[in-house]
Amino acid sequence: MSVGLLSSALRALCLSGSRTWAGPSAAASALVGCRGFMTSVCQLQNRTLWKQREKYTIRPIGMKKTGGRDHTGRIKTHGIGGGHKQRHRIIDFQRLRSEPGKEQPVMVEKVLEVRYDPCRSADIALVAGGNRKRWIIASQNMEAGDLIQSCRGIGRMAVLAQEGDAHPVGALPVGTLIHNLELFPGRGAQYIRAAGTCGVLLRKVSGTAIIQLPSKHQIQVLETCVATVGRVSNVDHNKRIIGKAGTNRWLGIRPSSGRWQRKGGWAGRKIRPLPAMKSYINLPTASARA
Amino acid sequence: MLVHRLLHLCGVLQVRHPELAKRMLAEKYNLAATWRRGEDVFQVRGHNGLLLNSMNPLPVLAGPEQIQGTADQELETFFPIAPTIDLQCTNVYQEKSTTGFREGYPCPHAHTLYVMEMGNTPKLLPEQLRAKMIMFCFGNALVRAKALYGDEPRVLEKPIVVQSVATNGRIFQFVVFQLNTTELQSDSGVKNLVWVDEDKPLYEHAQARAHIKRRVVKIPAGLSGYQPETFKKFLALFLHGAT
Repeated sequence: MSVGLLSSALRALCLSGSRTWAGPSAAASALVGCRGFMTSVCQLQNRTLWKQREKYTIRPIGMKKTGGRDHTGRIKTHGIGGGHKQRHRIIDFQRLRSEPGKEQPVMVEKVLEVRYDPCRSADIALVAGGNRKRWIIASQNMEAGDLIQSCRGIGRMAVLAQEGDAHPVGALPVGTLIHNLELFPGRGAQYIRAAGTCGVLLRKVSGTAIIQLPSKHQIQVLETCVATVGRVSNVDHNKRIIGKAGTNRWLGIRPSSGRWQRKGGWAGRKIRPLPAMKSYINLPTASARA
Repeated sequence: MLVHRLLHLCGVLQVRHPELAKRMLAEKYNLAATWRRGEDVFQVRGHNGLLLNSMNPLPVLAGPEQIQGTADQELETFFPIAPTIDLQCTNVYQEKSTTGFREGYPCPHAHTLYVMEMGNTPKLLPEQLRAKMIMFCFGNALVRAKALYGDEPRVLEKPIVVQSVATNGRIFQFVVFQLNTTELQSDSGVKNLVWVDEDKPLYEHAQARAHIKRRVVKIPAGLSGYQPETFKKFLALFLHGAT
C-alpha cells in the first residue's frame, strides 16, 4: 500500500512539473508549498497569481490580501489584516521607458489626472505621451494638464530643472531636491518614493553623484541614474491625525498585543554618527584589477 | 425602440413628400473602410446601428468657397499625445473597403446613421458616442467616395454628405459630416467638415409614477419638459434631400 502511495505521489509530481512549464514564475510560486518528498499532491495556489501579469495596463487590478501570512499559512508579520478592499494600479517606475519601437532621447508627456492610490502614501498621476498612458508617482505641485519632460542625455551645463521632470542625476544642478531615485541605471526608481519625501543632490564627483536620502544617509550613485525633480506629492501625510482605532482598522492595521512588555536595548532615542557613505558604483575591486 | 417609432412617425409623412418613398432602412449592416495617414493604417469595421439609404445623394451643404477656405486653416494637434492613443491596435491582413451592400442595390447613398445607446448602463459617455458617430460617418462617406471615384486620393468635386443621429433614449446628438477630399496623408490642403449638435434632450423626465417629496409634486407623472425643437431637428435631418 505504501508503494502504491509513493508511486502515485511520484506520478503527481511529474504531472505537475509538465503542466506548469508555460509559466515559470507561476510554477516557482505555485510549487513553493512542496517541501521535499510529500505523499500529498502539490496544489497550484493562486494567492500570488494576481501579481504575475506581464503586460502593462492602466486598469486597476484586484488584489488578494495576505493578512501578514506567508506561504505556510502562519503569521509572518503581526498586525496586518482586514481593511478596505484595494485595487492595485501598476506604476511605471522607469521614467525613461519609451514605447516599444520608438526610442527617443527626450520624451514629453501630459498629465491627465492626479488621484489617490490606496496602495501607497503618495498620490499617483496618469500621464499620456505618444500612443500610451501610464501611472507615475506624482510630484508636489503636479496638476492635470501639465507637461512633463524626461531626458536621457547629460550635457556640459546643468539643466534648469522643472518640478516633475526626470533627468539623469549628472545633468541636475547641485542642491536640487529629487525623488524617485534609481540606484543602478535602468533599474527603475527604488528610493525616495513616500509621500512628501525628497533627497538632496550634495555634490557631483567625476562620473558619480552623492545624494542625501530623507534618513540623512548619503549614497553615491552613477550619474546616469535617473531621478525626478521635486518633492513627492501628498506633503502633509505625516501631519494627519488618525483620530480613532477604527481608522487604523480601515487601513489594514490590526491592534498590537496589549500586554506590557519591558523594552530592551532596541528602544529609545539613539544618538550616533551617520554610517559611512554607501556606494553603488560597482567599480572593479583591487583584486579584480590585478 | 424609440428611434424605430420616431422613424415610423417620419415615414408617415410620406403622403406629403413623395420622394421619401425612395429610401430604405437597413439594420446590422457591415461597414469596412480603410485609409492611411502618416505611417499608420486606420480601419473602421463592424455593424453599428440603423442606416437609412436613399437613391439620391444628399445635397452639399458648404459651398466651394467655404471648402477652399478650409485649405488655409491649420489642424490643431494634441501634442504630446498622438491622436491614435486608445485606438485598438490589431494586425491588418486585408484592407477591406465595402459599404456592406452589393452593387446594384437600388439605394446606394448613405443618408443617415442612427446610433442607439439604450439601457440603464450606457457603455459610452456622450463624448465617446459623438466620436463614434463621427468615425462611422467618415467611414461611410469614404467608402462611398472610393466606390464612386476610385482608390486614388483626390479632392472631390461633389462632396459627399452623411448625417448621423445618436441617442441614449433621452438626449440626442446630431452630426453632419461632409467629405471634401480623400487626401488624408498630409495635414494641409482642403479639409473635411463636420457640424456637431450636442446634447439635445428630447424631454426632461418621463416616469410612470410621479416623484412626490413631502406632499409636493417634484416630477409629475408621464412626460414632462418636452422640447419640440429636438424633434424638429430630427425631422429636418430626415427630410433633408427629399424636399
